[in-house]
Amino acid sequence: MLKKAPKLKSIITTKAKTNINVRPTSEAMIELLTLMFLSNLAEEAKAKAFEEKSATIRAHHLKAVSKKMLKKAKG
Amino acid sequence: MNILQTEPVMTPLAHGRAASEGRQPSSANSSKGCSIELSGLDLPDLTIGAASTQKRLFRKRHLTFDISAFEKRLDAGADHVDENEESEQSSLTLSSPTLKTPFVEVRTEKRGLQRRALQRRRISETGFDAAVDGWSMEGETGRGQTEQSLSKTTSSEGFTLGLSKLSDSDITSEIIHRHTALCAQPGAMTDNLSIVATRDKPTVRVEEEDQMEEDQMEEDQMEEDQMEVDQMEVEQMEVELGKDKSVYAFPTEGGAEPQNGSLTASKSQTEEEKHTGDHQMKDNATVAEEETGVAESLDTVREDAANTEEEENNVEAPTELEGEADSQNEENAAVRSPSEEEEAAAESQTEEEQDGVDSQVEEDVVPDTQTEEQDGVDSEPEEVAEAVSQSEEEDVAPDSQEAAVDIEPEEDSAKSQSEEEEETADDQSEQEVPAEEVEDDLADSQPEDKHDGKPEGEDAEQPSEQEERDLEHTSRRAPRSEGPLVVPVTEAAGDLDDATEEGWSDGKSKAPSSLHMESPETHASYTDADPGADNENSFHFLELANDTKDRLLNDKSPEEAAEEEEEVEEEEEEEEEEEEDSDAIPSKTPAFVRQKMNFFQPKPQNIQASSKTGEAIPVPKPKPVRKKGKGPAKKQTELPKRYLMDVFKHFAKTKVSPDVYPVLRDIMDKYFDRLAEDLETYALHAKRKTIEVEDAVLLLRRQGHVTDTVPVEVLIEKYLRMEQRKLLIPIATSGNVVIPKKWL
Repeated sequence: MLKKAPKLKSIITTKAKTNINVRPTSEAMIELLTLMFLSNLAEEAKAKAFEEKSATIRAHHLKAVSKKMLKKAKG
Repeated sequence: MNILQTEPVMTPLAHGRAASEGRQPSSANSSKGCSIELSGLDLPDLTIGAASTQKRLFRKRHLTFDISAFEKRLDAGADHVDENEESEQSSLTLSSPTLKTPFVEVRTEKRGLQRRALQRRRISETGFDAAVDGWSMEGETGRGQTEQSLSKTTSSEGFTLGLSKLSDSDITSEIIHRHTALCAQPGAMTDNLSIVATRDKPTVRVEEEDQMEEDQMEEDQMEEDQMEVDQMEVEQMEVELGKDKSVYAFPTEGGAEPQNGSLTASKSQTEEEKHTGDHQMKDNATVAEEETGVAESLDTVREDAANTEEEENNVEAPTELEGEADSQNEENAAVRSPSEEEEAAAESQTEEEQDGVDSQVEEDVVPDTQTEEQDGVDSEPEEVAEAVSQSEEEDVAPDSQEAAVDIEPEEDSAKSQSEEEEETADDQSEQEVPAEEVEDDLADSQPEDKHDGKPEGEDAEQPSEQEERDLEHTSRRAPRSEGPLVVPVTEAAGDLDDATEEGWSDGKSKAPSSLHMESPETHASYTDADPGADNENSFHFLELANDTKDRLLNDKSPEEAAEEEEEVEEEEEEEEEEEEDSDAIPSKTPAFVRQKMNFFQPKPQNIQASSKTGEAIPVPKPKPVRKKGKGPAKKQTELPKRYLMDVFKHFAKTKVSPDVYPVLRDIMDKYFDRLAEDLETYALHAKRKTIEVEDAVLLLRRQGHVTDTVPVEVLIEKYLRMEQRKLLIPIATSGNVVIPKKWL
């Protein structure tokens, strides 16, 4: 949160199918969206890791929650 | 006197009782005078009162007790304090309910608590001791007993705790007994392996021992394969693996005794796993078990092949025997069978050895030095091929394969899984001796297995590493194994569970397999499967393979070749893993596939990578090496690793293993895809060509982050930096420019 998320705009524009522009303000909103998604993801992964009595989040914890979180962030 | 006056009002009955009781105890208690032995009904005050009443009574009735009465009076005169003290004393003597209830209660309560706690401890301790004893004995039975006792006595939680203890003790005991109890250990190991190991346990175990040597991890995997390994056993095995890899690897592989076709098979697998260090051994185990039948048949074949290595066999034979007798050979066999199948019968011995060595394998994990062991492993060419790259080369192909497998814990385990799968399918396909082929098949199967194996509960590190290797290997092997192998692999993959991984692995394994199938050379296919990073390694393999193998077939490379390949592959994988992790999205499909595979793989095994990087393979790879990252035409859609990890760690608030980065990157990739699509849709729906803030807000609303109660500004203020906030929320600045009114 203290750093700027570099090349967010380029990521979105490359992924967007049509040629679309991104406003700087909406760039900030996109960053907000990603941060919210990441925070939820991290929280879920943390919960999952606790489930397995592990204080460290590991790759398989993350994988297990990723599918659920991606579905949630569908909109 | 004073006492009498101050006595609280008491019910006559209570007094009477107290008095009577007091009298009796008082008489008994000369010193205390007022031994207020009251029933529980009396409260402290009452007791005091009772005492006082008693005294009164005493004065009235028992003149003879002047002294005692006098004493009592004195005591009473001390006031309530004395009385209290007396009462306390009496209470102490009396049943708990009287006097000073709290004090007594506490004591009793403590006692009660203590008792319970002690009891619990005893159980755990005894169980632990039993376990320790069992370990020290290194007898299969002992271990089994300990395990059983552990399982019985300790609850699930206790068990885990005990496990940690056990692991420690095991480690120490193992260290001590390691050299001496080679024979015993393998036997014990087999037993352990036979015991189905719960997934949770291995997971926990794995986590704990994430940092353990790869070998150990391999051991775990091996145990898992056998499905039975209690966690304790696994731990033990891990320890053993880490420590005595070399020792066990050979004896187990040497298994000249074809005795237990199944046993050897399982053992071999375990060995392989150990060598390969694949965490997925667990998966393999499951697969192996399923394919017990096949394994057995393979074992027989392998036994024949293994005969070549009598030396090893001899060593292994005893171990195998032990293992057979103790553990459930069948299970081992099952585990081994798949691996064996892949490796072509040539090394039945090795398999046998492996079976016996299952326990040992874990110990022997990987060290390439134990090429000898690998020979035994050859029986499981495919599996081993991956793991043991270099050491195997030295040994005969069949042997080397096995050893190779054992040597590289991670890779082998992964490979072993695939191998197992393949083997099961190919009981007959011993033809696929060529390790390369096997490897290819394994590679295909492995990714599946790997994926499956991972979710199955292997700890992240171990499984991830294995998976990476497995993926790489499977991809390589897939083409080689061809139909029969692929089928079993897929089946095995299915069995392994981990639907998610399977799906991924299947896709990946198939992709590389298809690619590999075409390549004429097994090696080439190998390299092809691996992303460019592996090219170097593959070349190395090719060289080795060419030298060693004549019969490289697409289906299954000879065990020897497989061994070499395995070794190389393992190294390659390591390198690849490293490379891939660091590299951006590889451009070519295989690279992409590999990348996916890397997601599941924990950090690349840098240890071995360095060794490989130097090797330059003259043989031209079938696929040109891709430049890292996409070409200039392609765009980079990756967030910087540092940024991503930092943000994630910040939100996680707990430790985050760096292994998560590939997975996280993949997730973010998908997320951005969907995000861009949604935003674009919203903008286009509003007939705009620019994504506006309202589009993003609408998306937040649809996702549920912004509701009627939670305005978006709240979120903005919560997450965004100041400069961004300023952009979004018009701040009422105090930039008032005061313009004095012009007065006309």
